[in-house]
Formats: sequence, structure tokens, C-alpha cells
Amino acid sequence: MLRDSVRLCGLAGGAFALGGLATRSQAAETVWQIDPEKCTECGLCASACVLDPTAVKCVHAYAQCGYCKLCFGLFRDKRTGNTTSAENVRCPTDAISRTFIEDPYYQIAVDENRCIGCALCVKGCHQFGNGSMYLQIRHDRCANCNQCAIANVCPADAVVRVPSDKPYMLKRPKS
Amino acid sequence: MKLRTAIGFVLAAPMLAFGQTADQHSQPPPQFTDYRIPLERAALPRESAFQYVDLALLALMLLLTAWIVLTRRSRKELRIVSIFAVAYFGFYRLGCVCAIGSIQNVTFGLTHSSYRLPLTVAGFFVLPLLAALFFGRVFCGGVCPMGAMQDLVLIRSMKVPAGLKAILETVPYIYLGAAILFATTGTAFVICEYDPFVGMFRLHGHFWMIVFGGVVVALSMVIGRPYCRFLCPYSVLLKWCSHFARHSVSVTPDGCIQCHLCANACPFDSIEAPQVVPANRQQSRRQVANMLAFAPVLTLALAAIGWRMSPVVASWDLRVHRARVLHQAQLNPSAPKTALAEAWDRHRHTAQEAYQEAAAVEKEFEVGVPLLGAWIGIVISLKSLSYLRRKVSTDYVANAGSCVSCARCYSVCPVPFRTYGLPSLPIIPSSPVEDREPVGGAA
Repeated sequence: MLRDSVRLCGLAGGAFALGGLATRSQAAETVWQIDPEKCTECGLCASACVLDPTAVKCVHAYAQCGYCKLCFGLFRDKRTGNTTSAENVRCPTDAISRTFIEDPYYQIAVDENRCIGCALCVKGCHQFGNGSMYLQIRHDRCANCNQCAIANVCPADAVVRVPSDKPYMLKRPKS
Repeated sequence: MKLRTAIGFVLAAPMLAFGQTADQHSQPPPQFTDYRIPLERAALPRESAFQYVDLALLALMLLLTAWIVLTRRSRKELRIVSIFAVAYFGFYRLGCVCAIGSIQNVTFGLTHSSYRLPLTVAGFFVLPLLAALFFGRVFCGGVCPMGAMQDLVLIRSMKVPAGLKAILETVPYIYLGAAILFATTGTAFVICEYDPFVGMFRLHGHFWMIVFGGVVVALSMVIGRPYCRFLCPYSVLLKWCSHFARHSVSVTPDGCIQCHLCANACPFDSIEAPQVVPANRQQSRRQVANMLAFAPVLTLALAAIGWRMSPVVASWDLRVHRARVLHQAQLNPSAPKTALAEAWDRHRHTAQEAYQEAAAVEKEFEVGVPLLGAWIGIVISLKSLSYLRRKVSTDYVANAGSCVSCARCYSVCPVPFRTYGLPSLPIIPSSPVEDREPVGGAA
């Protein structure tokens, strides 16, 4: 008798909880995303993600790009040594390529399959360029964990929950 | 309808002045003669319809496991279900979403109105518990990828000494309390962060996660399901529910001959031997009375310790940690700046803001940590009382709470069943009308 009533209460409570919890809040369902305004290019996105390679990739905002001849995300030269100058922010995996458009402009493209989300190009582009390169979590890769492992370590609180119907925080020129 | 692989395109708008912080344009956007500015690619998240697939599979597998365990009584078939669970919920879905971690989402959803609990997560929290109310811990037996993983690698289980077992069995309760505390404060989802199996399912994880996973799997070969029995916080809730189960594992439906074979076969020490009323009832009454007097003292003492410990525990929170880092930086301006302080400055936040944020969090911990301490005290007291309680039973029975429905005990029982020798036929248990119902439901 006691067992039956407990079971009945459990059933009713479970159904109530399931329905109630799923509709309780007005907020939408969420996915994880990086706020490019907050990101400090620390490089933890490359290593902290539970996936290998990370679900964080560099996004290139073409509309914001200066089409520089000398791209600081791409820049490669023969110098060695870790200095803080431009040669240290080149892409370590050759994921960035440029194609000639018209003098003196080059179009920059990021090969997502090579990108490891290290943010070196983002740093270079922010320091010397227009900031058109920035990191975003790619939702075709992201496992949408309960708690994002990158959010746990991000020093800038840049990894945030965003509504799943607007899953990106793309850089837009302000109108 | 949107597809997972669909690519959303966004219109490129003409360049205008961007934010003031880091995005000054050092290069003016060029004026092209014959070139159109391309669009960004934005791959969409996993189609939300798939979450219903996950939920439907979960419900189906719960019913299937219940049918296999309670009616078919077949370990072999259960093993096939477990392999599928490891493959789908483990390796394909990368171990997320899972019922164990959903405790934190439910807690977080209840305490943070800005967070909406996704339907899948709510389902993964509720459905295994509902199943436990009807069929016992069938979720553990065949559906949970972590349980299945440990069960599949088990070679031969060592018996954990009774004293050690009693101590280790309180750990899930403490872990549950800690997980709820840290999810409430928004500090971390500790169950996910220290999950031993998720690194394995993803073939990637930080060093200690992989080490911990390796240790747990290695232990699982010689100790039955160490994570389920001595760590899993969800097992606490499942235990509570499965005590009220309508149908649960019965070793032999035809009458026990007290041969002890089932208890030997159970790798999880879940089959209880027959017990008689203790001779010295007076002594056991005195023990109970002592325990009842001791319980409030222990609970209050642990709550007090919790209150003293709350600043230490609070420092695990990033917000509190940041405030302390910023404070140190203020005291010692010549020291090199940490990444935390740099990120905070870059957003033009003042140290004062960080202190206020941290103070609010610390206040939550001042309430939460003593409560956790009290919870630990209550758990230890009640556990001790439950060991003092003497149940009277004449047969070997599976403990409703700790039995994980692995179906190992059935085949060793020497009592001949009506279908003995015909294992392909469903075995009719002693209460045929009640037990046949789930067959129709699952099929």
C-alpha cells in the first residue's frame, strides 16, 4: 500500500517535474559560444576543450578585414626565437592562406580542418590589424557539454551560454 | 526544416566604425573594383529533433532492459544491450547528455532562472528514476554507458571488506551533496569535470581525467563496478526509488534452498544472506540509542566545521579566486599581472566590481558549506543506524537498493525452473499476471 502510493506520487511528481522544468523559465535553450568582445586570446581554447581537436575555430569576418598584404595572422618568415613581435603570431598549422585579389589586396581564408583554435592569429590581427579574426565555437563539432570545459578555465568569462536559435556571436559592423 | 549540416549565411554589411576596445581599424577597408566580399560560414548546432531520438532510445532501452532482466532473465541478452549503450550513449554521443550529470543541470535550472533546462536533460534525469520506481535499477544494468563499461570489463570481483565497504558507500551521498552545492553557486559541474569515463568516450581529456579513468577501469576488472557503488551520485537517487519498485530482481521464484551460490555469483555484494533475530536485543537497542544521541552532535559538529571551511571552499570559485588575485595585485603592483587580472582590466572593470561579485558568492558558500557538513553528518548517522538494523529474512534476497540488475545470479541458482532446459522461452515468474505486463509494453 505504502509502496503503491509512493510510486504513484513519484509518477505524478516525475511527470510534473519533467513538464515543469522544461517550460519553467522563459529563457530559450542554450548552447555555448565565445563572446569575441570579451576574448583575450589566451590560447586556452586550444587545450581546454574536451574534443581533440578543439571545437573552437578561427572565424574570419571578411567585411571587417583590411585585406592586408602583410597579414599578421598568416605572416611567416625565416626568423626564429620567441619574441612578442609579429613573427610569433603566425599560424602554427598553416591553416591560413591568402589569395591575390587586386593590388595590394589579398583575401585571407581559414581552413577549419587545420585550425586548432590557438588564437595566435586572433592576437596578431587584434594587435596589428582590424580584428577581423576571432574565435567561435563551431556547433557542428561542439558536443554541447553540460558545463563547457573551456568556460571553466577562461580567464575572461568569455565562454557564455547563448540561445540555440542564435548560436553564434558574429562580429557585425555597428550601424 | 534545417539540417545539421546546413550552412547559415550572413549578409556582409558595409564597414562602419566598430567597438572602441580592441577593434580600431588600422587598415581602412579597401574599395574593390571587381570583387564581392564573401560571407562567413556558421554551421548550425545539432538539430533539436535528435534530442527526441535520444529520449526515445533511452525510454526504449529502459523497457527493454526491464524485460530482459525481469522476464527473460538472460545475462547474454543484457550484455548485448550494454554493448549498444556503450557504443551509442558512450562513444557516439560522447557521454553527454548523461543522467548522472543531469543532477547538476536540474539544480542549476532550479536556482538560476536565466537557464532553461533542456528537455533531453530533464528526460535523462527523470526517466531512469521512474523506471527504478517500477523495475528497480534497470538503468544501471543495461542503459548507463558508464555502468556498462565497468560491467563489461569485469573479470572476477574481489569482496570488499565489510568495514571498508560501509565507509565507501557513504561517498556517493557526500558527492551528491557537493555536486548540488557547486551547481547551486554556479561554481562548477564537478560530476562532469571529474568524470572518469568521458575522457575515454571522447578519446581525449586532460591528463588526470585519463589517469582517473584508467584507474577506475583497471579496478573494475577486479572489483565490481567501483564507480557505481562507491562514487556515483545518481545511484543515491536510484536507490531511494528502487526500494519502492513494483517488480524487482528475485533470485529464485521457486523457493530458496539456501545454497549461497547466488551470493557468490553477485560481484556487487548485493545479495543478502538469511538473517535471524539477534540474541542480544538489549545490546542492539543500546547501540541504537547511543547512535540517536550521537547523530545531532555529529551533524552540528560537521556543520560548524563547514562554516569554518567555507572561505576555503569558496576559493575554488573562479569569481572569488579572481577577487583575491586582484586584491593581491593591488597590494603588490610591481608583480607581473596574471591572465585573470589582465582579462578583467581589459574589459575596464574595476577591482571593486570583482570584490562585490565575490562577496555575493562567498555569502552563498557561507550558507551552503555548513548545510553540506550537516548533510554529511545526517548521512553518516543514518548509514550507521541502517547497519544496526537487523532484518529478519529466511531466504537469499537481492537488496532492492544496491542490486544493479546485472542478471548474473539467475543462471547459478540450482533450483529447477519450470522452463529449465528451454532457455529460449520466456520464464514465467511466480506472479505471472503482474510480471507479464512489461513484456507487452516493451515489445
